[in-house]
Amino acid sequence: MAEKIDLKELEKKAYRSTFQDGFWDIFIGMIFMGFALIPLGDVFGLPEMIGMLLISLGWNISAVVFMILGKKYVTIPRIGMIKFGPKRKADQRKVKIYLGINVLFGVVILLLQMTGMFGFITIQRFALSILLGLFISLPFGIMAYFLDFPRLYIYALLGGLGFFLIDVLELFTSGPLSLFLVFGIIGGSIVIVGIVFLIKFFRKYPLPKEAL
Amino acid sequence: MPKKDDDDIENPEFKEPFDKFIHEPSRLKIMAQLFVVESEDFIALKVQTGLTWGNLSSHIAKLEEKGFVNVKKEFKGKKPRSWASLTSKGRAAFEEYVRSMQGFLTEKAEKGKNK
Repeated sequence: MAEKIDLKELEKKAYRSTFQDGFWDIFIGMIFMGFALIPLGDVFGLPEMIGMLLISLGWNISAVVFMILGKKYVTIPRIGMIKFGPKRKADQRKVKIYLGINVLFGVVILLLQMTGMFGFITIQRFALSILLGLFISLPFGIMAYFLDFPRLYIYALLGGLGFFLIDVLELFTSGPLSLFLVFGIIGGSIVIVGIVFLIKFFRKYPLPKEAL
Repeated sequence: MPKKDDDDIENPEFKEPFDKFIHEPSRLKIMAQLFVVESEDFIALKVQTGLTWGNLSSHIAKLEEKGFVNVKKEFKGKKPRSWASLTSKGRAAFEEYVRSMQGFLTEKAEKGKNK
């Protein structure tokens, strides 16, 4: 047989085909766009923390629902389902545990902030940008590693850089507007990348006419 | 073990160095694909191997008959979904195939060097 079969490559190809639909990109892009929407709380006259919580929670839940429905009604009917081996399963379990810890950590930080526990801490603006950047880049970078999803490294880096860009933009414009612009553009660009992948996916994998 | 060479064509003692049943390209694709995962539904198997539905179903049936592949049908609502996985016999047969194929190719390459 002329074709060489590289088993590791075969498994990787099958695994990475699950990211060809662009839904992960759209999901990550939506999460970043969620930061851009935080200032909307002011528009609706909500207290800062409540607005932040409601908008981020609502938007992030929409992003999760969008991805689940997309996978269920678009991806699976076109490329089917694969149950991978123990190593992939263990990695996916690690991602879930890690995400759970992250959400918990985020909620605790938010609650402490709401109760004014951080009031006494003074932190330099630049150090805050580094902290916030790490708070975004690190979890997404670790997710990229365990998910074996290389594009996510770039998104993690872009998300982390966002806070520095806000600092730069704030020299010229107001805080909420710079947040809206920076994360709107970063998140929007990632969503566009996802949509391009989705269009390619639709073209490459039409719905099968016959099934077994 | 005697190996088939240009000179061995008429050799009655010749024994195939690897499993001819698995060596068939479509079956080899299916076996290799199922070897690297736990199980796959038929849509995924079709997409990953690039086979047609007809080809896929006939080869799966042959592999199932031989005891290499296990097929399970499940229903999600009214929609059926067929899953295929390698049996332990199939897994062992594929491993043996890969081993013999590697041995066969290495031997051929060494013979080629010595010529």
